[in-house]
Amino acid sequence: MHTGKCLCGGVRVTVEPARAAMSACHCDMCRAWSSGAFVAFEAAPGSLKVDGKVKTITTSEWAERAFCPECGSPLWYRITAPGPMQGQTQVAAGLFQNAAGLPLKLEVYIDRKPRGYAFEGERRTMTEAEVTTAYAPQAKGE
Amino acid sequence: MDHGRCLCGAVRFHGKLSPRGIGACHCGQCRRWGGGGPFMAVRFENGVTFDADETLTWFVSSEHGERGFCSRCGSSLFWRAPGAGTEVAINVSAFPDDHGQQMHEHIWVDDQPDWYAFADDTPRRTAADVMGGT
Repeated sequence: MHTGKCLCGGVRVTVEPARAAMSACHCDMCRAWSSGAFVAFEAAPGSLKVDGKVKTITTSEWAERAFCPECGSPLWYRITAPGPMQGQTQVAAGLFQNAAGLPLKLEVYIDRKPRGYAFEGERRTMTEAEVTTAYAPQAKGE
Repeated sequence: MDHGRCLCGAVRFHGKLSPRGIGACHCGQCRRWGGGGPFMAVRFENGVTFDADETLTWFVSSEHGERGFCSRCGSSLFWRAPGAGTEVAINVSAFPDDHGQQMHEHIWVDDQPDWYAFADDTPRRTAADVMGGT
């Protein structure tokens, strides 16, 4: 289990990663929310425990985002659309010391990333079209 | 004029983007606030003019700075040092068009964790470099 907290300490979480991997999302929404890519790992189902006041906003047909209302720290991105992915929670890496020791394995919406910067190194990437194709049935709530 | 906004659009502002480019801050506070990676910011040449700022909330994160975010969507928007008229660092992704912005520098690199690195070769400045004015 890993313990993390937001910038002001108002929100504290404990969670088990679903797997030893993080992803960075470069989509327009994640970047507007975080400034750069939103880096996160998937919570093992049922493992996320939260203490403190959390605010959420529905940002698309299929997901909501949670943040601390006191300091604005991003907390997680959660799939809300009905389907096998409903409830999947991507927890912000920034809440944890050294990102809970997890490696960055995937970058998504890589074609939406501004060309002016990039993470170093080789890793798996997915374009917007590849993500949509992979997850569209869930996204549409089928 | 360059127009910026938070994710939900409740905070909207404009100004003239400086050609300076993107400064990425890798300090622990910015990484906690920025979702995991650095806070990536640009500046306006003549200050920020707000078109809508009802939900803009400032959190004093240290004696050195405060952070502005939207209370409706949580977008991390601004960092500024205390005091009137100080320059504001603005979330580069608040602008729908990235204007081909290039990296300018990386700061607080002594706080940067090992799990990521950036591919450019712009200057890397430590906290001491920045605070000491080098």
